[in-house]
Amino acid sequence: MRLTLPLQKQHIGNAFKRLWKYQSALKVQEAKVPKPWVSMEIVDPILKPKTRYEPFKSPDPRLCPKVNGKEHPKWNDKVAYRFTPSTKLIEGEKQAALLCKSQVFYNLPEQLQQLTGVAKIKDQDLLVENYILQACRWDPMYERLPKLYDRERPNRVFRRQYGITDRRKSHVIIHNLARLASTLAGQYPEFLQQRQHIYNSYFSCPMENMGDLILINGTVHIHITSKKCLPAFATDAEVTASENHHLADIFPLKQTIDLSKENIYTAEEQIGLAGRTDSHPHTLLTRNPHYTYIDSQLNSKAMMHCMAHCIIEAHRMYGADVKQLPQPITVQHIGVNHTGQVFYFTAFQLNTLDFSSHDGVKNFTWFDGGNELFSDITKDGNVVGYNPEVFKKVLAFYLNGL
Amino acid sequence: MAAPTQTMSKVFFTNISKILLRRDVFRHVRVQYLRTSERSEIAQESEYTDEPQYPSLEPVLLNTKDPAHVAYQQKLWIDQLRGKPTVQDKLDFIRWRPKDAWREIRPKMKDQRAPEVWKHCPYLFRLHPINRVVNFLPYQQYITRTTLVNRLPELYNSMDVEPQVEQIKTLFKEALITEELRYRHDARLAAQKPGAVTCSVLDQLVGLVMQACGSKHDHLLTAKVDNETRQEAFWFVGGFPKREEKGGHLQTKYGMAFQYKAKPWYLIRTRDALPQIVSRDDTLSTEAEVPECKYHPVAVGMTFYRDEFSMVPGFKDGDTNAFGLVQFHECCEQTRDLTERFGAKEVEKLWLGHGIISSFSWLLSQAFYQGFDHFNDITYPLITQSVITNGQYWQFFTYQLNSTQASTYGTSYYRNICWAGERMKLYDCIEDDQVKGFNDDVLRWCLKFMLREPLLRNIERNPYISTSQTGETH
Repeated sequence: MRLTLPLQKQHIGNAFKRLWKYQSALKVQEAKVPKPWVSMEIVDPILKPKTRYEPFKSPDPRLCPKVNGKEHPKWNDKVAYRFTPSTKLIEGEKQAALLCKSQVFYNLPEQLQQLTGVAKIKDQDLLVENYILQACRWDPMYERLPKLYDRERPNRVFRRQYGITDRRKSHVIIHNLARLASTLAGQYPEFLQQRQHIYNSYFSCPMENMGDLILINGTVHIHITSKKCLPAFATDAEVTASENHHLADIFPLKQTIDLSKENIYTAEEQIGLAGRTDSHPHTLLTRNPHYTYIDSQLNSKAMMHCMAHCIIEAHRMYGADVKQLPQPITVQHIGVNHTGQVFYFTAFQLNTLDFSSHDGVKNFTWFDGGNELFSDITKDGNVVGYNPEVFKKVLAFYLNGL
Repeated sequence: MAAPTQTMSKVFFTNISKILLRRDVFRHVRVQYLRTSERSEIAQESEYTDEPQYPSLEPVLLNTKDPAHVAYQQKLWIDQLRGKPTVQDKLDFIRWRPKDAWREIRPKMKDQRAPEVWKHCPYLFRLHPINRVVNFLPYQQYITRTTLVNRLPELYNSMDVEPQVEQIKTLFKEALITEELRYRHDARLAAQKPGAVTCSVLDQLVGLVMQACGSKHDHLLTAKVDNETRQEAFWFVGGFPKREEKGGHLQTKYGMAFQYKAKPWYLIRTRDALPQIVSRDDTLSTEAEVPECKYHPVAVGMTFYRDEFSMVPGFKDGDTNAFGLVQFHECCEQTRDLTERFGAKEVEKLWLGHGIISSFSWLLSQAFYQGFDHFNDITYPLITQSVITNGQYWQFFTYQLNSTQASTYGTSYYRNICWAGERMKLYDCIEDDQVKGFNDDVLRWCLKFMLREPLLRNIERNPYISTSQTGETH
């Protein structure tokens, strides 16, 4: 017989019968208790006492009492004017001079002018140029950059840019320059004992100005301290002569117009040095993230920071109630703009702590702003318009007070 | 019309003859006969040379899966990779993407607006400095082909750093106290991140050494210090057993891909490379033991994701300081609750693994930026030194990279070597403005690491790269 396809078909009836033979009746296997379980006790789960776990309930934030009102533990009836790093003084140096009761000079003090170019580090310009390239070209950072905007064509949507942020650029430049300046300790061995760098030091300082309470706070990115106090920049004769100087008037504005009013505050002095009494503030290096500020506004910020440090230093040295200073107190400041390109040098001398009126002895501030370290970087990786004078000034600031 | 017909017939017949020769009968022989007139033209006297010059041997295409054919294709590909002039070209070639395509694709991936980009990315197994996996050390050794020596090399014994230690010691103690006081006084500083104090201590240490020794040692004066930069590397390991579970084998065309990413607190780079510690012909480099752990990464407990390969040694292509001297890693956040979870013994092993993985990755990326890659081995060994700390405990490592070929076992028989020192305690506690139980050895080792001079100068650094062309790397 030929083996045809119908013949090869499976016979369902036969298959069913074969299965039915074994699976029609359910065989129940004998229950066996495993050997290790024989000796164990049997516990009825129904009779077992239950332990109840209650979840932790956090208090409902809607039912919490409001802390912003007068019931706040830090509430004060007297209004304070707060100056933060993002406060923009609209009148710039003029307004800051009123707040600090200061006379302003637009050049560096003679002491610092004489020190520029005195100290030299081997291949310093080459190294600084390398640092600029490290910050602006060779850094592997890849972050989202701010939106591009064209004022002449406001409708145009640019593609989002990625790369090195301005914050990173100025951070790398500032830290490298400070480190290179610190290698002067090879030529002047005293520096190793005297200078110390403190990074991201926070400070806050309350002061009275014409009857208003002003709170100044902020962070200094590199705080260079010294074991010796800085010498005064101006002579006693110049200080007494400042009684005849009249501060510029900004009427109808009040000098506290840009400061934010607050009732919740603690008026305490704080400085990055913590409990150390043997070191004094020497130079403050800060980078400014604000790209809308003009030069005079950056200068005014530097002035306020310097004054806060000087006041704290005066209180640390001569007690909290001191009014007449036995010796003037000085601090230096180096600020960098948002891209790390432009440097602002400031020197401040605190002659008086009497801020109740505009008469009498004034404090002194010296400005040297708008120092461009470099103008641009080409696509081939060359620095355009490098200015060697800037690092010489940084070295002079570092060298001062030896 | 006569001329075209003639040429057409010529072309036709040559093609036919080629096709005929390729058929089954003649497939082992590949000879093309020329006409006598053509032969006489070619056979001129100028063609003869003193030494016979043979054409390169090519295996005949029998089967694409023939191992000989596959090996030949791979060799061709590797030669092509070696010939790429810049680092970016090499990266693009390995990524299998057109030139500089990544420049366009990367922003899209960052924005996450184009998920179709992710589809074409390879599977990567992420390596952190510390992977939270039990008994991970042998696996880390296996994928980096590293032998572990539980002491630091003897060449450091001859270095005398006692004057510098005496110079810095009191200042460093003072700095420790200042930082501790600052963070105790100010809650907002301590709230930045778990290892903020440790980072500040590292700031002080590196700053002090630079201040004291920077002007006397040229390599420190010209060194570049990177703070919290990207340190990334990828490599391939083959020979894992096939995984047939859900998700598949998760392999790239070169093998299993591992991607390391970290942000060390400090990288110090110099212009010249450190000299070798052990010769590559030494028995330690060729015959030392490496544990064999042929487990699939998923089985070990690693996670995978899709991304493009990235290779960053802390700088972009073109930087003159391309060799690493020391790296400082802060591991507070990663080791925060490890002792409670894994026990003290396991934590010690994880620290060792941290040293191995971070050193290997950094050196591999440095080698890549010198023009070598995973398939074209380095021509000279690369050395780096690593310091890992959580503020109180410090551990020191020295690493010698003998070979970049971690994947192709057999072609290169070199082992990489990691010398690990003991974990040391810097101080017991800081109380009453005083550091109690201060350990000088930590400072001594830090100085020895930083003052070791890179003297490897008279070598051909990047034989596979054209120095005239350098560009940005993406």
